[in-house]
Amino acid sequence: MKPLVFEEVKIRWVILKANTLFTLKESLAYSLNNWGGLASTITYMLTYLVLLSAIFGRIKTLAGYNYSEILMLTLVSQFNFYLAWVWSIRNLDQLGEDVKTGKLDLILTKPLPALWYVTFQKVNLFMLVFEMWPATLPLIYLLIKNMDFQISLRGLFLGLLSFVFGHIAIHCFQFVMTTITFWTGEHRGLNGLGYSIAFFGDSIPLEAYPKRIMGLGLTAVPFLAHTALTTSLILGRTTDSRWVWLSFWVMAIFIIIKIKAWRLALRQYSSASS
Amino acid sequence: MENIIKVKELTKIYQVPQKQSFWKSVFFSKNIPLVAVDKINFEIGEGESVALLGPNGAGKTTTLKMLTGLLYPSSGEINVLGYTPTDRKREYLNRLPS
Repeated sequence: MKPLVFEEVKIRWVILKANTLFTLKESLAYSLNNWGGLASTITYMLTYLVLLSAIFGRIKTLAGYNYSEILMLTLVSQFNFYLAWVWSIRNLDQLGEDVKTGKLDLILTKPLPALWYVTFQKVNLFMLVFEMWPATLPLIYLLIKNMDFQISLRGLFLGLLSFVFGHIAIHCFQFVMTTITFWTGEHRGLNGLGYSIAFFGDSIPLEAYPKRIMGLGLTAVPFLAHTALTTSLILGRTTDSRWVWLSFWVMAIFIIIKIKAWRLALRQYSSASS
Repeated sequence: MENIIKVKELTKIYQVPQKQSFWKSVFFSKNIPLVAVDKINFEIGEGESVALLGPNGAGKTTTLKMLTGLLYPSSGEINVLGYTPTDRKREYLNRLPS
C-alpha cells in the first residue's frame, strides 16, 4: 500500500514540476507581457494606496480598523490575489477553453491523474517572484512605517492556516462553477462570476459584515476566510480557534465537492475535437 | 481467437442547442437530443484487422471515443482488454497509443 501512495505522490510532484517549468519558460518568452503586467500591478497598488491615505486623512477608522490595520488587510488581500493568479484562475480559464475546444482529450487519454493535471496545468512562478513583490513593496513599506498593532505568534499561525484553507476552498468553489462548462460549452461568463465572488469585498474587514453574510461567506460561498478572517486572526480581533476549524472543514468539504463535480462533469464531456 | 473488444447495445445521445429566435436564444437556450450511435453491437478478436466505415455523422468518431473512455455512453456496455474504458484505470490508459 505504502509504495503505491508514494508512487502517486511522486507522479503528482513530477507533473507539478514539469508544468511549473513549462509555464516559466512560456512567461520568459514574452518579456513585454511581463513588463506590462508589472507596470499595471504597481500602478494599481499605488492608486489604491493614495486612495487609502486620502480616506484616512479625514477619518480615523473604517469599520473599526485604523490605517495600519487596513494596510494589513490590503496586504493579505494582495497575497491572496497574486496566489490565485499564480495557480488557480489561469487554470480555470484553461480548463474552460480545453473543454470547449476538445483539447481536454489530450489529457484524458494519458495515464495521468487528470484532475491534478488540470488544477496545476499553469503555475506562474514568474508572477510570484517578479510581479507580486515589486507591487507589494510600497504597501509593506507603508505598513512598517505606520504599524500600530501587535501581532502574536498564535494569531499569525491561525491566520496562516485560515489563509491556506480559505484559499483552497474558494478555488474549489470556482472550479465547481467552471465545471458547468461541461454542460454548456461556455465558460467565460461563469469564470468571471466565480472570480467576482472569490474577491467579493476583499477590502472590507470581517467585522463590518452582517452576521448572515458572515455565515454565508465562511461556509457555502467561502469568500471571507482567505482575507477577512485571516486578517482578523492576525490582528487578534478574532481569537477563537473554532473559526479556523470551521475553515478547515469547509475546505475539506469543498475538496470533496470538487472531486465529485469533476467526475460528474466527465460524464457530460462531449469531446469537441475531431 | 479471444475477443478483446466487446460492445453491446452501445448508444450515445448528444444534447445539441436548438435554433431559436434571438431573445429566446439569449436567455433560454434549449437543447434537443441527437442520437449519434444507436444500439450497436460488435466484437473484435485479438489480432483482427477491422475497418470502421460510414458516411459523415454516422457516429464513427463517437464510437471510437467511447472505446477510449473519452466519452461516456448514454447506455450500453463496452469492454476493452477486460477494462471498462470510462473507469479510466491507469493500466488501461497506459495501453492506449500516445
